[in-house]
Amino acid sequence: MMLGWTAAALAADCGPAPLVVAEPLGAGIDGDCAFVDIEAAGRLYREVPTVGVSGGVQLARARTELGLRVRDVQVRMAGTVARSGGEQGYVGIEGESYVPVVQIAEVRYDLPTLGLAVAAGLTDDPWVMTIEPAWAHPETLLPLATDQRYLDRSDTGGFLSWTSPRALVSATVAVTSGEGAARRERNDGVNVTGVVHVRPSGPEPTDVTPEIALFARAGSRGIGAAPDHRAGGAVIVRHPRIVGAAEVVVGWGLESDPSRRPLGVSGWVRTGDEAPFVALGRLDVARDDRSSADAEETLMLLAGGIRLPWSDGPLSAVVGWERRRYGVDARPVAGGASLAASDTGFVQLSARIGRIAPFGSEP
Amino acid sequence: MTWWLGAWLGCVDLGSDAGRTAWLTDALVDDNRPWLSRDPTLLGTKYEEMSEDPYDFMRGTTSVFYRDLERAGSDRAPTVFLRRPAAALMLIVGDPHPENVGTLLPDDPVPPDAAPELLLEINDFDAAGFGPYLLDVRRALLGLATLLDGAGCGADCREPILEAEVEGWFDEISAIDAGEPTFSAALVEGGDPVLDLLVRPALAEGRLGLLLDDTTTETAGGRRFRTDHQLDDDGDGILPATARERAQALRLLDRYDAPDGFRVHDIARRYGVGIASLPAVRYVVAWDRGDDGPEDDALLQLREVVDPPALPSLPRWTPTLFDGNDHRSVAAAEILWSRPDADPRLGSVTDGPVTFKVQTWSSYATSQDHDRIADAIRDEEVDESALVGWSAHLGRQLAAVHGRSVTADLAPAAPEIALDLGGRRERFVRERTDEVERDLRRLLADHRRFEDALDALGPLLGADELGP
Repeated sequence: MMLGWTAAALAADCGPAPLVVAEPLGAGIDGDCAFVDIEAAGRLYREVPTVGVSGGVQLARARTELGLRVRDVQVRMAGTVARSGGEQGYVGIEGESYVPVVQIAEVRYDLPTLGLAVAAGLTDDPWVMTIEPAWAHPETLLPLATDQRYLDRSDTGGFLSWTSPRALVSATVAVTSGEGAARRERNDGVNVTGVVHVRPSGPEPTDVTPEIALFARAGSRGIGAAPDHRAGGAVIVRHPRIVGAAEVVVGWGLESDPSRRPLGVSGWVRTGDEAPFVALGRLDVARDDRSSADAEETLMLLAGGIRLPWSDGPLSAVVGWERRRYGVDARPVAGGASLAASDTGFVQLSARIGRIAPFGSEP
Repeated sequence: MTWWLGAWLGCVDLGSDAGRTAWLTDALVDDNRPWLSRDPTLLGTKYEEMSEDPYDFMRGTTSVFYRDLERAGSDRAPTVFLRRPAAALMLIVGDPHPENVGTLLPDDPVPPDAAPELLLEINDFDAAGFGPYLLDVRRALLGLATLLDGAGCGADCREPILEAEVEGWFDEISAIDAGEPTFSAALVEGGDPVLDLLVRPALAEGRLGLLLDDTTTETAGGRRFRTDHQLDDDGDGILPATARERAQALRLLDRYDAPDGFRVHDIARRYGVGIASLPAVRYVVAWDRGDDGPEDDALLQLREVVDPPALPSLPRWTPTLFDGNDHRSVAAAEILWSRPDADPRLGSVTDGPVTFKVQTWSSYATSQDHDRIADAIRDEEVDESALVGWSAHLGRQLAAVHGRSVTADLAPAAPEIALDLGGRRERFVRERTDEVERDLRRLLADHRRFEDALDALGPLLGADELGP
């Protein structure tokens, strides 16, 4: 997300606060600013097996984020779109039109002298937004945790975060409703998530910057307060031209079903901001029931393309292939061989543009 | 300390049974959100009906059934069928349980001195959509098994009856593929002892126009409904339409492709019908074709249609064919019925985002009644051979429906099904009959959990705060 507005932020001495972590202890926050980040992606796709509507055009991504930062206070709002009526329903608005969905509505206060930040509202999931910005291609494929429905992208609640000097370590504790952005509170419990993010090389960019992040969540979901616990970790390695990561997420309970014990592993590599082209490769292995090797879904993604209209421009045109293979117990109808795999080839045009506008007086 | 932390986090340590109850409760609340947000009293009535009878619980949990079936995990028995993608995405009924099978009368009005010719048809396509053919067979068997279990017919008693339905289905779909179908939808009195429980009263009451006489009265201003002052203890009854309801019904009827001379005499709202759709809005309409006398008087029913349950399929597989619920509710019937005009009054109309289907309301158009059949079994009015014959007939009827169905590419479905079956009759029968006993055990256990959940959480399963 920072890609679009990094240069503008440097020029303005102001920018949006880092996602789900505090500003480093001792960091100065200069100036007031407004920021906007808009992205959209459209996709032509063809799917095999070719049954029913197996090809066509998709809105792969549509998201707008707006924010204001005045000294240590920041307010952000972000919205996406959803099909009214869902992907299979007919009871929608004006047919099944796209409707705006509020994804983030967050107020945040940073105390950089203490390295603290506190936020409340409809906030980012602290683990999803540790991984998704590093993956950087949600328009092509959501990261493991949201693709497999292990975690929601956002939830009502808030977080308290602390970041050490030089951003070597961040620790965030979030307390949220547990029902995600799409559901009202359904039980008296709350979800408590803790994330520790270690960046051993600090803010000085070196050729290779490793990061380690760990998280755990004690949670509940639904009327019956079914367990919805999660734990996981990731190693992320960044280079200006290439970024790679390995992630694991385990769970106790899934979608109000306490009998499910999910396990997901994801490994990916992508080109970095300074690469002259776009390339992505990813392999995920996920089980809704980790005791069963047959309940396994395997996802493979390969995509590549160019940036337009210049080598690091905000537009990208990508050709890709995504394969999902389902084990015997992971198929929509257990055993059904025709439901064992799907392959999707696609051509996608996407753009993401962020801008920052300073205003007001110097503090 | 641990207890306090657990309670605050809300993560109660759920045993496997309590865990299943938690999942079931959530699935039901999700499935019934539209009713909960609009009319929680009617939803409470629906839950009450479901709690009183496992068969009604089965009827009210179609979405839960499919959601359960789709969960990844090792607690499901894999099928060796569904090898062909086209057979896994074809137009299916979605919920062909015995009470969704009934009589229809294509001739309207019946010519003078002619005998009414009833058809045995699926009469509810609310759950129709694109999915694997196997699910229709599975759901039909579960409905039959639940009915038999409720009649005191245990596993040994059920086995030959359930086998007969699967064998009937298999043999008929194979015959259709070979170009030699055997099933006829025409119903004759005395043809089948169990179907006679349906046919005899339909014909007798239909000839006399009993439903019209029971529910309406002739006045100087035209035919009027005999409305109730209030709903009875079961939530059943016909109440006068409010001004707002009447206005909506008239808007809907304006858009209905009505027969020549169509005149509306009266409109009322009908409550307490069905299970899954019990909270849906139902209007009944007394109408005629313009004659002054009562000879052309008749009844219609307008019933709200909502989205079908999501049928299991690959995540990206998209159904085709239907533009909306209005199209779905008519087109599915016209494709899957033995003749498109099996109910000549069938139609669909919309009012803003709300869709209603229009149907004949007549004694000739009636459904099998699981209570009536169960009573007949208990009272030994029908014996095992009659039940075997009846279930085989139901199996053949469902196969005939599938024989008219289409794949998602709009090709005939029967050849794809036959190729998928590959002649493995014994394997298919064994897989289905084993499966239905597992499904029945789970359904009965879920029904007990549901009763316990209602006791523990209240009449809306603890979701009162999600209401209006």
